[in-house]
Amino acid sequence: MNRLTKNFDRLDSNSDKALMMKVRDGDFDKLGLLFERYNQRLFGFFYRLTHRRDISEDLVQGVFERILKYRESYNGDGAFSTWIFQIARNLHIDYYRKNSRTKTEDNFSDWDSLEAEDSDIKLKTEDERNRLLLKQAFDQLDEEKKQTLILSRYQGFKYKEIAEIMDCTESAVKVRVFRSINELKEIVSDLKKQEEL
Amino acid sequence: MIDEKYIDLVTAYLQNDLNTDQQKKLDELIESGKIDLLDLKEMEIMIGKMDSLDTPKPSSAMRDRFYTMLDEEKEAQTVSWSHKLNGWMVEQKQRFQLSYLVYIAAVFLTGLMIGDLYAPISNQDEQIEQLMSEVSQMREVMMISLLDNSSPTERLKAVNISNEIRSVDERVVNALLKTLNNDSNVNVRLAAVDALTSHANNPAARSGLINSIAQQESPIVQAALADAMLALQERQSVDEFKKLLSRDELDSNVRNKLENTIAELI
Repeated sequence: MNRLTKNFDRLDSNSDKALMMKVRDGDFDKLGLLFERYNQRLFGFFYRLTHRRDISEDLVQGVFERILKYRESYNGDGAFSTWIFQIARNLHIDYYRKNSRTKTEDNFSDWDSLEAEDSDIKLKTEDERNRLLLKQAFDQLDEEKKQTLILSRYQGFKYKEIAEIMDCTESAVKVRVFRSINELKEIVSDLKKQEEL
Repeated sequence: MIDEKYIDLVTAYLQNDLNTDQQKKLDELIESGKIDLLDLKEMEIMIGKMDSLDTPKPSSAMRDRFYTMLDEEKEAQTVSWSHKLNGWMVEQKQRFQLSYLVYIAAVFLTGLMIGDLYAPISNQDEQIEQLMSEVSQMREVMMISLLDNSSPTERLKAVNISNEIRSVDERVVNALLKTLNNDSNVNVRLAAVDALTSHANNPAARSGLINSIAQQESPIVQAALADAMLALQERQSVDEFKKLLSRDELDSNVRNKLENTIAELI
């Protein structure tokens, strides 16, 4: 085996997919590497949806618990990143359903933001005000639109990958992106008008 | 608002993924007024503004919790295997005479010994090589992750881990240089000087050290960089030291040291 081939093999043996195959076969230490590669991305995904650090951390833990639980069902088809975000998305849907029933999210929503930021928008500088308005507008989007924008803008997935994660067509993803941005524009504009009154 | 029949074009534009034909078509539609450039730009700006919504980093408790869970799973797996093995043994014992089992074990052990005797040494070497490479990559991931920690002790640990990485790549060098030039803690920056010096066979590490000289404000770090350049006999650093010397506020001890360093390097 020449040196180049050897290097390719080595690279391949450390790919997400190869590591997950090893986890599936019982080498649990490899899950540590996958955790290091994905924990911050997953945390960001959940935090943008929940605005709660504690819940986001719980959900990240939940993703890795599910990976271990369902590791034997992993067959290596498709990209690992889309697979792990499918799990993340399903976990968030479960959390969201449970939460809508108990209504606890509303009571505690944006807890970290409340701690970190003054809720009085008028006291903020122009930039901070715009950021807060955008954040409020983003929160008013429905869950599917939020997830689509997060996966596209912050997680860097292509529309085709998002379609795989969200179990829909690529065209549906594009429509959601298009409409979400227009909706965001409108909500921000409305919020600005309300603020001026 | 842009007509939804142009969604494919607009979304491809927003993801910076237009091919030549699509770009041409979009230009034509803008020129003919069917797509308002202002609307398109507004959408692009709105997407751009989303970058201002940042997220915090997860706490270290999340990592601790994950590794605790992983350890528990590993333990459970071991227990489960030994439990299965015990069950199998009992079953086999009931099924066969003990003497028959001893005979099987003897054949098995002999096979193992013969297999071990003829195992190709080169294959073992390859496995060890691969294992070492994986350990090195794990260290790399751990190091880069720890460098973002808010605790200086953890960041110091991260820099020290880099000394255990067999051959550093661009990611590690960049992380160390970022630490050297931006870390708030002097001890962490000093450790970064040492780490980068030990990896000076990497051209990026060497040139990064040189470029960092003029950026340092701390006399201790300035002196450490002078020692490092002397150890590496790096003549290209002389110009950077001269830049430091031109500063009026430079510490007098450091000034002497730099003058001596320049004299020895020239």
